[in-house]
Amino acid sequence: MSSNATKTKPAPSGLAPKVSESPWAQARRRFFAGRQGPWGLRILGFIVLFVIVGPFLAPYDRFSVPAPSEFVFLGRPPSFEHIFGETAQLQLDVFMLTVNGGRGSLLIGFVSAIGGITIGTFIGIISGYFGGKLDGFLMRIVDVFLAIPSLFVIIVGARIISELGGTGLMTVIIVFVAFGWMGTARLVRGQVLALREMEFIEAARALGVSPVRIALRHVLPNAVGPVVVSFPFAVGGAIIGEAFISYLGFGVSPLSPTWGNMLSNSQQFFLQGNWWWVGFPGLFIVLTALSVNMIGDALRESLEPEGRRA
Amino acid sequence: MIKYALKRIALGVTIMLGSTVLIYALLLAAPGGPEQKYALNPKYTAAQKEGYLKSLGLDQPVPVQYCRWLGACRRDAEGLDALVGPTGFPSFLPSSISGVYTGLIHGELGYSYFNGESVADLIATAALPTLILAGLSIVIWLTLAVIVGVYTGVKSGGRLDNSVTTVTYVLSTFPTFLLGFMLMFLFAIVLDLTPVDGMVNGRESPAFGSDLYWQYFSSSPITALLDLAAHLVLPVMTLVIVSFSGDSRYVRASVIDSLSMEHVRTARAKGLTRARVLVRHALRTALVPFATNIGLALPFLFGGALITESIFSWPGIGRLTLQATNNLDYPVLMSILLIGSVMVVIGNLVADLLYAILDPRVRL
Repeated sequence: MSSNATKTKPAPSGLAPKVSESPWAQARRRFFAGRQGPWGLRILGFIVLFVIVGPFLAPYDRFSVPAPSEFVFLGRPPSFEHIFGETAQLQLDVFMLTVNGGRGSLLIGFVSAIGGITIGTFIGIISGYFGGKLDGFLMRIVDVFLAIPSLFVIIVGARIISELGGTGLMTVIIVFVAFGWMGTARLVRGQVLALREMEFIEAARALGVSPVRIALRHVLPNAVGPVVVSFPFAVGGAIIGEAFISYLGFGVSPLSPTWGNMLSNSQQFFLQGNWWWVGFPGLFIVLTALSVNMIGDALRESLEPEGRRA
Repeated sequence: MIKYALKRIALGVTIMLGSTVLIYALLLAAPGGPEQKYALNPKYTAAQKEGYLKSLGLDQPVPVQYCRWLGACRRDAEGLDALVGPTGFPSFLPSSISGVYTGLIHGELGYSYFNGESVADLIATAALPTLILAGLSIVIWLTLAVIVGVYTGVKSGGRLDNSVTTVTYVLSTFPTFLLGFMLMFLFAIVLDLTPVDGMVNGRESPAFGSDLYWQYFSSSPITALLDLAAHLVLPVMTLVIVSFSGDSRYVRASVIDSLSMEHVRTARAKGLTRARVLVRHALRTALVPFATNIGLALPFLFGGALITESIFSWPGIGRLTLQATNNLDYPVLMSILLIGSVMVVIGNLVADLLYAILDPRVRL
């Protein structure tokens, strides 16, 4: 229960809609009735828009290094020409770096989350629906993956892939997907195990529907609720995770800017007073993480209204 | 209970074996390795290379290499004989029975490719600083989480609760290093109250953990402790702030849940005082799931402070990991990953068993 649940006005019981609603429509209504969900969407929408439109607004190329008239070791604070300021040394425009970095970070966040969740759902359905030895085997694999400390193995994985010749966003995405599917697999398996025993599945089986069709058409749509809830958190986790490993120097190379690798270069200059180089990407990371968490919490409350937690 | 515990331990051992395979496979796929060290040396002949690889046991097929690394095979025997130690017992049994002393399960972690130091020594040196930092942080943050969580849970809906909950919500999404930068800037640069980074004042004190340091420590313990404490402030503050907020929200939610439970209502109806209802009835149910989380804090003691250590140049496991990753120092990496996963497995086991002990509804 988050704070906003207590703040949200309870739906007046007398005003229940006349027409019967599907569970998804009910969830949508509850989602938009709260404050958290819509505000989260607004913030995230603003960030996405900013990142898409931003590069067209600023007249600077992200790779162009202006020839400084005098040698300036430190960056310059925000001004009318450079509204987010300039970086130290290469004197790049922080606004350009931030919007382009946002493209990188959001791409990593969404693609890793979609990849991890897709694989996890697939494995969870197989494991839960077919059960038996396969289930035992797959769940032991999940246990093994979960046992290795994730940040450590992600760093090692990213280092290995970059040593093998991978650079850029793809490295990070591969590592995040490879070590980001286990939670979803467990979640979906649990759902499927409960659903498998339900009467409508039995009915479908009695009608002679093929197992694959049952799994896809009857089990999957009913198991998808918790997965939807976990999606925003996975996006936020991947964005922050990218920032972590880029900060440690094993993430995306500075040639493709992300919020994470901007922060990794700027720490020493931050300590000398260049707050804008850390501040703007940092602000966007925090806002993004905050908005996706708000969306996730609102989704959880609207999809699992009785406080039922998977 | 005992049967359950044994079952869980057996499962834990299986998971451990699985993770050794995964770690081994991961690092087998990795490039580099010991023979790269001489790859560009024109005087290095093929025969020398072969001899070098043979001396490291790298001429054997992969399963044999794995088996030797694990310690289930002897290094001085070939084929199936390797599975039996010199005393005639299987090699994987403890050294005193099997007579086998090599391999992971006999406590041999190998030597760093990078500087040839014993991995066990490297890890032992780095573990103490991490233990100090993480241990202190855990104690502070769990205490703070319980205090803040219970207080806001009891007063839920109030003005203070709303503001505290909002603040902890924002803080729980804050990336560690961003907070670390900000605290460092504020306290070390602007206010100049604390040292910027490191573990000891390098001008006066030898490096932490060295023999000289302990001499210095015993000659002037108070100065040394004060110095250590000053260096601990910022990293501990960073860890506590990012970690306590999630936990305090968790405690708050379970306090609110338990306050609306039937037995609490009964206790109120009996006319017990508010404090008694809270402490004896509500908190007992609310804090059980949280207490089991303490088991999950065990892995944190070993490697939870990776980022924080890196921000504040703390000479712990985190920094060792980063160095080893940079140098592709596989023996060190394998050992760190492995010890980390042993901690995770033991931590989960402790959490499950604690839950079974603390919650009388769990019948085993």
